[in-house]
Amino acid sequence: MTQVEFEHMASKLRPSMWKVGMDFFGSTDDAEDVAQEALVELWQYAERINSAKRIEGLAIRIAKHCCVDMQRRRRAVTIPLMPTHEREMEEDSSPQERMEQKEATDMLQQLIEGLNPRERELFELRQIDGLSNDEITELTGIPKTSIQVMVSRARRKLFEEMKKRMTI
Amino acid sequence: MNRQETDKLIDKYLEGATSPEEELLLAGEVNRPDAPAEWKVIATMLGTLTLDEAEYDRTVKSEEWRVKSTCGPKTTLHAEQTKPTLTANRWKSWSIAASIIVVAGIGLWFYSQQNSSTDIAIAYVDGQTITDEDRVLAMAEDAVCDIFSNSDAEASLYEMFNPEE
Repeated sequence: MTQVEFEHMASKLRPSMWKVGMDFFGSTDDAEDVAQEALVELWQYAERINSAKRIEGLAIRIAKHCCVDMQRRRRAVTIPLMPTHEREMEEDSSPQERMEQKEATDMLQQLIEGLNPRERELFELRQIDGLSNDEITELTGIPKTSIQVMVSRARRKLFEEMKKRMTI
Repeated sequence: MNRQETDKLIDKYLEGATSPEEELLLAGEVNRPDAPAEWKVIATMLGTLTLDEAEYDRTVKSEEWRVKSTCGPKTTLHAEQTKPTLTANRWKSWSIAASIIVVAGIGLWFYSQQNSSTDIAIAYVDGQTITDEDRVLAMAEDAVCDIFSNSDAEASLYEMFNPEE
């Protein structure tokens, strides 16, 4: 997808993203921020976007992620001003847990890159685009049962490898 | 969702058989702070977008719930609290209305009494109509004095009431 194509599509997607922000924050300013941030983030996925149907679903998912992320960042700014006992109650996770989470995500990304191209594609269509097996069938023409088998294989490989590396 | 149900859903996820909705449900379960290490792996595999979408949906629903729950009971509570007040207010309104009616009624009664007790003085003297009360009374007094000063009262009265003759 070229930048011009993306810009054309972005103007159509913006209202949906804005609404996601509005539903979450209930403020037009925050909704604007969400739409803006989500569009920037969506551009990172632009290369993997081929059809309009997928981009709209992905745009909504990204907008939702931006809402949660914005809220998380705000909480992180607010929390240091709170007393320690309240801070412990408010915090979602400790800095160590967050670091472990990041390491796990990086590790997973490496493992995904090690999958064969078809498994990787199907895994990401489920994980990133949030598509169902039926939608993937519609999109790729691969029979649903084959998709399920390949997705399962990819997921089991990643799960076992992750467990091994994380010494679970 | 209990632990067994979550484990069952994890198996379904690893089989590649879960729907996007089930994966959002699973994301909510495996991303808990107290989740076992294996669940954390599943959370990582579900990915940030799914985890955050689940959190978004949960927050929006809980926000709706919060609004409903805070407004709901508040409304009920408010209704309960204001029930006696409303009754009291209604009584107050009725009392005010009744007082106004009573006062207005009394006022009207006095007004009508005053009006009905007012004497209308009209005198017809030499073809003229006199309505001035004082003048009429003065003329009547004069007439009565004339009657009593005159020995022939009957004639005087006849003369008074039949002026043409």
